[in-house]
Amino acid sequence: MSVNTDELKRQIKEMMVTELMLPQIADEIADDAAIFRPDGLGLDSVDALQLVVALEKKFGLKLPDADAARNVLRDVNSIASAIGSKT
Amino acid sequence: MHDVIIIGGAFSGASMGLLIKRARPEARVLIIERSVEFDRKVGESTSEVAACFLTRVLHLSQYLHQHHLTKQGLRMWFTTPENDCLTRCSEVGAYYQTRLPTFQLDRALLDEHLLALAHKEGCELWRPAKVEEITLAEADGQTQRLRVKVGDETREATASWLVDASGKAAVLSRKLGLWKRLETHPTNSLWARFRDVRDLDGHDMAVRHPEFAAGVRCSRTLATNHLMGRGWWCWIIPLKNGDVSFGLTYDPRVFQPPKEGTISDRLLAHARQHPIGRFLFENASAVENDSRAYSHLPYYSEQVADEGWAIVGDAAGFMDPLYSQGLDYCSHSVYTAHKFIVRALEGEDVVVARDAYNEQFRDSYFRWYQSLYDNKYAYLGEADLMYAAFLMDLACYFIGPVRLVYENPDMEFSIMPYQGTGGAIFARFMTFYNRRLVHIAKKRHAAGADGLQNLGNRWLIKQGFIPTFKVLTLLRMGMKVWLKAEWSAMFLPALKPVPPVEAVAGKAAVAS
Repeated sequence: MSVNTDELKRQIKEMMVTELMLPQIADEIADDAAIFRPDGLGLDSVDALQLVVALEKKFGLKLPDADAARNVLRDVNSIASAIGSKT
Repeated sequence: MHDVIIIGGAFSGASMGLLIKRARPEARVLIIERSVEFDRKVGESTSEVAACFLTRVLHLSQYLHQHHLTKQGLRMWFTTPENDCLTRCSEVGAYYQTRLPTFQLDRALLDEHLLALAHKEGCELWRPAKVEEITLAEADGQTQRLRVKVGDETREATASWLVDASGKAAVLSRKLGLWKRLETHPTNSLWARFRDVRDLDGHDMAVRHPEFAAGVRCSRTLATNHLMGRGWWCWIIPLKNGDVSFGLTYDPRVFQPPKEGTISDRLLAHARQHPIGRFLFENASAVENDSRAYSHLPYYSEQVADEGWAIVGDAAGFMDPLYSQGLDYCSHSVYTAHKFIVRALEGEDVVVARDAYNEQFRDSYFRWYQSLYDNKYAYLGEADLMYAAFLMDLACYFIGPVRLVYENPDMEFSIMPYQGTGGAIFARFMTFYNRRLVHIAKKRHAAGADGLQNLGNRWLIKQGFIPTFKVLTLLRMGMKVWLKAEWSAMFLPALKPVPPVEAVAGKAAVAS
């Protein structure tokens, strides 16, 4: 795995902690932790709204509809690859 | 080596830098600000205590009047599901202009101004800069040590004091495992900024509804207008550039907003269900890239100071934007911490003051919660109950915090609000009537008697709120409205006991 991808994932996790006010710190979030499942990060639909806004603002990633959001907002890995394939 | 490093250069961080430099010009203060420019934030509307801090402590009166709007109090609008006439909506608010200064702030502008002022008055500024690692003094026994990325360069910063003013990022509180959600108050917030919002005082309104338009002797538009409903409320805050900040805060256990579209789409759909919102937002459009959503907004830090560090402002805690008191708490925590940090820099032992800040912050936060917000969302949609609460909550606020900070800003901002015997007595009284109002609203809801006073009432307060004991008249007026509601609730069926509901399933599990 390249250093750039690791750095991107770290930035995504830091953004999630700050923007979604998560109780944990970025290092405690696993790359494959399911974003919306209670046994993962346990986020809700309001968090999803903010995640969409923040991904566009900070990473230029546009998620135009609910289907696109569902596919990308699975875990940090899927978000990183969507941002990576954008460029 | 600096004397003080402040993480975050917005309202709290920049104010902290300014206050330390003004009290001790020789202090070496470093402010580390992450952003290139500030984002807009919630809380643009100030209440009287924060305005006192801005005008009497930071002395920004001239700047505020030149670059921001003067606020004309709080105004609440109620309706029923079947009503589509805005003049029938029950209204609670002032009849005349308000007596003390308060402001509708464009926070991005204010924060930039404060940070520029702190820099001009001698604070060193690293921006955009990101704190990568914090090593607290406990580890090496001498200094707080930070590794900071400034542009492409990595720098080390050291100081005897570290202040976390990083806002909702709350970097130090999270790092130390002190950050907690207020689980019993799981409110969500959505907000966005809109343009082309109609004017409640404009020609259009005067032509359509002349009697309504002439019904007050002040500006309705300059108020913080609130649309109210069971389990939710919305703020409408005008800004100097003509934009309007519009936000919805709700308790998801009681209410769910529209579920389709972007944040601004959902807000507009919600606003247009209320006759006042429909009038105001009929032709409104969202300002791009300026919306936010927060799930479970209220949180606090279990500890806010220790050897060589302090947490202030939103990094220390946030509760509920209903009465615009977020900046009140920022003002108190910044001023309190700056006092003991300056004394420490002068060589004094500040352990007692530091511990007092910890104790007071916790007491104050929970008194504030119990007195004002515990289950309040149950009666937000009941016009007469909110009228009673409006009168009593604000009268208590003016007799207590507002009167005290105006009488002696230095002493009162040096402690957190709602302290001492007086604070405890008022907090108990407020907690009591808040619980009773919740109980009445629940009884009404169970009997299907919601919102019976939500149409046709224009409760306009002619005696302004002032920070003297004369405001007791308004407290008595509020008590009369409360007791009248108690009397009518006696004829409703008794509530059946309900088993307690878990706060929030998903996030509570993560937090625990």
